[in-house]
Amino acid sequence: MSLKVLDKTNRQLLEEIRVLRSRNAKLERIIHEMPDRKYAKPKPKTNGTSLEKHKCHKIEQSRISEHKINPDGKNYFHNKYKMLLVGVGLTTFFWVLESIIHAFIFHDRSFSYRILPHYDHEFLLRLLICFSLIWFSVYAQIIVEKLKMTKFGLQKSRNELEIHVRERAAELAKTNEQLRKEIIERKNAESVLRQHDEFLTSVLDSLEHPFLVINIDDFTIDMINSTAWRGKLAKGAKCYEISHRKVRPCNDLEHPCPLDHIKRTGHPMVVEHIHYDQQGNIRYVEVHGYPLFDEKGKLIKMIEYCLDVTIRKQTELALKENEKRFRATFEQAAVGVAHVAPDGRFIRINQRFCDIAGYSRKEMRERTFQDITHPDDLDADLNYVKQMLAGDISNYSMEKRYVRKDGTFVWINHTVSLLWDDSGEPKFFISVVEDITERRRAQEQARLRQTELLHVSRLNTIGEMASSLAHELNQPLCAILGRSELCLQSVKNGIENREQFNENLETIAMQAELAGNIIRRIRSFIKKQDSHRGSVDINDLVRETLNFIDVDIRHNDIKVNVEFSEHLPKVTADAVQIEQVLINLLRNALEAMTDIDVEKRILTINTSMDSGNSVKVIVHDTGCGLRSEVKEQLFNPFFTTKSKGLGIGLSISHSIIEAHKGEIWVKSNSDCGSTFGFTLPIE
Amino acid sequence: MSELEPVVFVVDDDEIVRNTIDQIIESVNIKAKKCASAQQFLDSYDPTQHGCLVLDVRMPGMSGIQLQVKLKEQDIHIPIIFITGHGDVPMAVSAVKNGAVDFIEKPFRNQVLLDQIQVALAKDKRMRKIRNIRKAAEDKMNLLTAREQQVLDLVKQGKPNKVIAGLLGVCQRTVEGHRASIMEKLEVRSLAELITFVNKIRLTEYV
Repeated sequence: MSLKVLDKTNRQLLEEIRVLRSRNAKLERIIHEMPDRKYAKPKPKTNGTSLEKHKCHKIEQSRISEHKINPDGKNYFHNKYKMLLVGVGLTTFFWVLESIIHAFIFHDRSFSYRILPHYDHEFLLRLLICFSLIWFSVYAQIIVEKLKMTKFGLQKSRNELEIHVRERAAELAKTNEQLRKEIIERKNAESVLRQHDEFLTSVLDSLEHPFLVINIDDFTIDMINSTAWRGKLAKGAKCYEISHRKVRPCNDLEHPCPLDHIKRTGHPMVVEHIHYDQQGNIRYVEVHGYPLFDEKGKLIKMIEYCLDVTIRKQTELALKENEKRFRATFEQAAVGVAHVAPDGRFIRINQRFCDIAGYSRKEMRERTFQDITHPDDLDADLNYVKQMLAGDISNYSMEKRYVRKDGTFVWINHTVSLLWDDSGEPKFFISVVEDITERRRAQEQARLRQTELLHVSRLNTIGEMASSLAHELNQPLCAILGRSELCLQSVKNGIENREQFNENLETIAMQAELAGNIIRRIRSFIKKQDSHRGSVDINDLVRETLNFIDVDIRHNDIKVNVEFSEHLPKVTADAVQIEQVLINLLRNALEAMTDIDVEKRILTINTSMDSGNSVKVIVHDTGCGLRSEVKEQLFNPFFTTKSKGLGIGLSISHSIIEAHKGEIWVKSNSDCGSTFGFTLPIE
Repeated sequence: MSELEPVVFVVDDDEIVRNTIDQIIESVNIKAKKCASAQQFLDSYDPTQHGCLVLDVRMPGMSGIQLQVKLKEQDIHIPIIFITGHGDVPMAVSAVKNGAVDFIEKPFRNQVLLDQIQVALAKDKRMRKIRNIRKAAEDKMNLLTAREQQVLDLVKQGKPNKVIAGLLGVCQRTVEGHRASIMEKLEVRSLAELITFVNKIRLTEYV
């Protein structure tokens, strides 16, 4: 505003100066045309291109004329006397000079005479000449003075003009100065503004995020930082051209245009967009739009800055993918998976789990694992849970039963681990459940088969021993029959030898008892089939078994060495089954020795501790030994080297010992025969 | 003790059974001798002793069957009655084939055993008689020279002297001389007697 005023004033002043100058020029021209060139002003140079220069020139001119011209006219009178003196002087000079010339050149008179002539006419003439000279001089002077006076008036008016010009020029200078000041101020202001602008640009350029100011009407970019666009931006570039590489404003439902939104609502907004960066890569950005209003409150621009969330987005996507994968793994696993709260509630369960437990998802969530676990299995499970919560174990696995909704049992293999949160509190259990009902059934069947097989094997053993047993039984029967007939005979003939008679009767009784014992033993051997594990003294068991096969031992004329380690710890085992193993091993040993010399038939049975946690039984024979290819197949079912064997004895022994978590092995002796051995873990 | 009085040897490892059998045999006034094992019997047995053997099949050490085989090898022809607690058919067949009198399963009636003992003793008596006859015949045969033996073989085949002479490459008269010598040594008077004598030896071989 002030600038405009200034400009106006300046223009007026310049106009005035121009008028003054033309007037001045006229005056100067007049002065110039005057005869006295002394006052003639040199023509000012009219090349003044700038107002400034011209003005300075003017001021100089006026200063010069000030010195030369007495403005108050005092000089005029001073000059008048001077002219008179000059006239007198000149006259005197002329007089003296005439005298000198006449005295010294013409020598017609003396000098003194000449000065003071004696002739009156001459003297009068001289005086007349002098006076006319003085008069002329004064008159000339008066004319000059008159001219001077005219000139002075002119000069005065010129001076006045000059003063006026000067005043105006001063005013102009002042205005100019002001103007200059203002210009400087403005320049300063501009420089500050520019600095500020540069600062702002630097700040914006320093931002890592794209920053734009967009005109609300036509999407053109008003301002953009270097992150958004490096280099010069084409005029009228649109925001969607830059960030979306599109030719029209973007507006799909998923990515609404923030400008539209702001236009509609006038409120700032945040929206996620997919932008292209300067290299043309796709970036996920969070666009922040902020409205800019003018002083009237009209929406004019929008500030848009974009946060690059690509990494976040990628992480999110990866997380989502992970989540999806995890969910799929969780949901579609072929085993039941459940997250169980420390108090036993089901937090998350997959469909398979529901299928196994026979409840719906909703019903499961309302229950705890204690609710669906079979009461008989619950204590063991809770014990594990306690240990795990105490941190003693990190996971456990057990087989237990669930009670299904319909009341049936389902056998599961249950593997549980515990997840702790950051503060060290238990978060939830991860329980993986596998339906093993079928397996259990199969195992049960296999167990039954095993028992049956065991029974068959026992019967087979008895069958194989039938000959011995029959002999064993028939011996007393034979004695009984014979003696009873003898007694009858005696009674018929009248008892001659009462002592003999009594002895016979006693023998009969004794032998009958013996026969009864034998039958009982066989019966008990066959009958023992319901297996149950208990504490077993292995030495006792070996003794019993030796007793049982004593017949065979005696008939095969075999020497038995028994090497028992006393005070062996008891083992947890099924005595009937282990007895079967012992019988198998011992009978094999006996049979292996039937073909060798009687004196070499030695059976050694040795019991001992094996590596601290199991008991070892070794059966050593001096028989024919085993070929290596036989040894390899020895424990296979239905493999036999005997003409009448079934090939099940050792295979059964093998499975029995394995079921007891022991080991069974065979090796050939260095001299002759073979050694069978097995271990049983201590209870 | 006369050689003619038969003795029944009882071989059984079970003392009670052994004693019982001993009593049974003695109850009919036959002499019995108890042996606890086959070896003991072998050690104490005199082949000239008349009698029979009551033998348990199944015994520690040498079994009854083994003893039978051994006796046969040693050319001891004592009749054997096997008694067994549990016998199977092959065992019985083999035992009988090897000349056992009987194969009795325990328990048995006393009379069964006694009957068989009687049979066995009779058999022993007969066999001994036959063996004596054969021995006498064999002794006579042993007197024949090798040439006479050859001639005898041909005569047994019913060949006439002329053919024999042709086969042996000698004259008929020489053959006639050999025949006369044979008849004299074997103490027979006719060809029929000669053939009977020869058959006696052949038949007794299978007893």
